[in-house]
Amino acid sequence: MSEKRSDQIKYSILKFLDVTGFTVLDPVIRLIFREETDKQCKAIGKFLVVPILFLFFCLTMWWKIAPQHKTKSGEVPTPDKVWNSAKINHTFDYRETTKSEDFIARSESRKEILKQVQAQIVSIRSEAEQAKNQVLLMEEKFKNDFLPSKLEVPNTNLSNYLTEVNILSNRRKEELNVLKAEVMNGKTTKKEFVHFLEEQDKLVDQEKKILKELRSVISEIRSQKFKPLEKARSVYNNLANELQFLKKREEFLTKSNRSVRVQEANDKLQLSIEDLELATTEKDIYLRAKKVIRQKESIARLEGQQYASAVTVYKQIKRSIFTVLCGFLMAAIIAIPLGIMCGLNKVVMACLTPFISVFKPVSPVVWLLIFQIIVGAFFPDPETHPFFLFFSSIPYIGSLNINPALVFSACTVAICAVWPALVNTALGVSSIDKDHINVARVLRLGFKDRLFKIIIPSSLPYVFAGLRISLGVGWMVLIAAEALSSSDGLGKFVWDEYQNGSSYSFANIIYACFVVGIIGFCLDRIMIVLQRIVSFDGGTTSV
Amino acid sequence: MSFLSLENASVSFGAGNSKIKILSDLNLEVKENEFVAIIGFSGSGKSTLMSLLAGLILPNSGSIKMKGKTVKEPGPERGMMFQNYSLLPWLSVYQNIELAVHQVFPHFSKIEKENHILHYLEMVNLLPAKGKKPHELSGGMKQRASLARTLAMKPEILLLDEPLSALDALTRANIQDEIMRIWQEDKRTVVMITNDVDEALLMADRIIPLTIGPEATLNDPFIVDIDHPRDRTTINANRNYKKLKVNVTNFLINMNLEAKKLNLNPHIPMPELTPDHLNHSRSNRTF
Ligand SMILES: Nc1ncnc2c1ncn2[C@@H]1O[C@H](COP(=O)(O)OP(=O)(O)OP(=O)(O)O)[C@@H](O)[C@H]1O
Ligand SMILES: [Mg+2]
Repeated sequence: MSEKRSDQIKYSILKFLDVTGFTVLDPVIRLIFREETDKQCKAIGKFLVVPILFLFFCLTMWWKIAPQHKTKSGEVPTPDKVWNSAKINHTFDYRETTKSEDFIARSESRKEILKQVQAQIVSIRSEAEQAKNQVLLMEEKFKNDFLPSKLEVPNTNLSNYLTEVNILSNRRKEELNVLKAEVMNGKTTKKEFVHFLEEQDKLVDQEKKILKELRSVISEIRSQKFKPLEKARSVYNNLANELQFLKKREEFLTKSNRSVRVQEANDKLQLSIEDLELATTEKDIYLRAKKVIRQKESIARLEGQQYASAVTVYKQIKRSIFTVLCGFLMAAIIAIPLGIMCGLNKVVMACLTPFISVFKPVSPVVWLLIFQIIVGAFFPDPETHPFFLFFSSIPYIGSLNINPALVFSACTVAICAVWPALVNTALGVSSIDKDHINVARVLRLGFKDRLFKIIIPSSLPYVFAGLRISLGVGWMVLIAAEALSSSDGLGKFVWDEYQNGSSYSFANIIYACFVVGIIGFCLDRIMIVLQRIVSFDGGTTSV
Repeated sequence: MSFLSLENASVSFGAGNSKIKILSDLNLEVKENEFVAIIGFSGSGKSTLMSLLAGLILPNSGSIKMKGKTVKEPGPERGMMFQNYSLLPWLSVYQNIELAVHQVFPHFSKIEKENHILHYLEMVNLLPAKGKKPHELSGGMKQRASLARTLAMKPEILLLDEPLSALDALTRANIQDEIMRIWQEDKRTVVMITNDVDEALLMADRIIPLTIGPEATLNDPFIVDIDHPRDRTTINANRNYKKLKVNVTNFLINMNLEAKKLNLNPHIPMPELTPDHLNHSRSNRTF
């Protein structure tokens, strides 16, 4: 009995893997349930271990090759730097969320948190001081070590370089002096002198080249020596950042805290009301009453206030996914009915074909610009437009800051994603099996039944194949559109990093590249699952 | 007045130079409650003839009439069972039949409908597979599902295109009996395509050979004057049966030879294989 149960579990897991397209894990599950262990081990070796080894091989190659290419933004980042930038982004997001929570914390919980934060500040502060001392120590040591006299050169070439350069320049100077004298007293012609000067320039070039090599050798030595110092500095910087963050938290939990400020404002209001009671002259009453009203208004405003958190990469991700889903939905809503009409009716197909053929190849950039203009005209004053006010009032979506930029990005996604879905739906409907139509004819199904019981179900696999392509296209287009139009989202994150050009930005761009890829992969997987659910021939979907 | 009739009907496929006449000058009269079997070689145009009778294709010339009215479109009163089953792959066996039943008997209550469907599923022995999708079925199971769908529509005339070709001998015999029972008890009219002379002789009132195409046409019918109900265990002994079987078989062989223009001896000795063997084996073996 228990064996049967475990079999059931096994098969439901296998079925799940099959539907989601993770069939590589199939042998692992079978191995766990001890089914033909030898065979599974072989399969794991071939289809899991080898790819993983290959992955490691690629990572190592990346690690090796990346630092050799020097760019304006520094070396091409290695995997560890990219990983580090992922961590930094994560910490940044964590800090922003914590601060915004602190800002609205109230009464008891506020005091509780404050106590913890203050305790942390004390411990971090001492750690930071230690780290600072360490840095000072290292700096001192570094300065001493790097006195030119103390420079230890591992491959002894350095002295060679210096002597070589010395010899070259000395010879050059001597010869020049000799020749100058000879030209003066006519021993050498002026023509020969020119020739000689040209030779001299060549010597100078040679010297420069040698000196350049020398410099790079020195900087290499320097950077080797520099590493411990760099590390000490980064430890200190991290601690200092943490300390700053905690101090900010403390502030948000005390004087900048919303409830605290509301309390203060209320106290002031109380005073003003008392003042009003004491007022005697007509003018005083009027002015003090006005003041009470103003203070009441400002309290109301204060109560609704939220922490204006900085834009983190996670926020950008959320916004991008929301935008792409909006655009995709728009595309599906347009493409599916139109596609069905095209597939059913040759006249409709003939009417739409020119549009499809001409607009399908148009670059997303052109669409973006067109929609930017069109959408801009629709919302001359976006802050107060009812459309946006409506969206900001929806709980979760409201925090995504819906604005015209999102609308035109979504429109661009929609127009680029509409074609694959449209063409595939039309193909699915028009290539419906003649036998199925014959069944409908023999049964004399009405138009509605024919559409919903025969045509749509039979073309669903095509429709979903098209939608899957659409979503993929939409995601690619969106990132480009956001980068180009500086509309908030992952694309903008990449663009900002590119513009920013700090030491981390290159690593951040590569980090974003992975984020975009992984999200695209997840979206595709979701579509594969849907496609598998509607496919009726039990066949597999290509991954 | 005949129930279903073809008058000088002919059917061509293609257009222009590639136009070929598949069926030419067909004349057929099917009486009410008659059982007609059509035999012919593969590719001669039997399925095309069925589509014509069903109204799925219209004759290029001549006419097709049912109860005196010209047939212009297909309809559930002429229940067609397709040679390639034509089950809808996104529906289970049960749902496939339900689609037809729902359309033909819209007044059925839920329970009536369910009982009706289950009745026919049981008839073709498919109750255990009722929830399966067509791609999970064997060829013979699909054939039975398709037959159940056609029978469940209770059409006035059943157009069966090789309905039993993919079945094993035992299932086949059972379903033959069921079809004959429905035909007799419900007073249906049946036109059935078969490649099996024994089957035709056992079931049909008339056997009509279709000549080899292109331009295939219907030949003179063989009348099977053996009383119904026929019993497959005793029919071998019937003198008429033996004579007819030799005649039909010889006719088919001759037709084939003529087509091939080969000059072989037409009197090939037939193996003495009769439905009798089938019954013996049935009693001895447990399936
Ligand atoms: N839609 C079509 N277009 C063109 N030719 C067709 C079409 N349908 C059938 N044919 C041709 O008509 C001929 C008869 O086909 P049909 O399917 O009626 O044969 P059949 O007698 O049912 O054969 P089988 O016993 O193998 O089922 C074949 O030669 C075939 O090539
Ligand atoms: Mg056929």
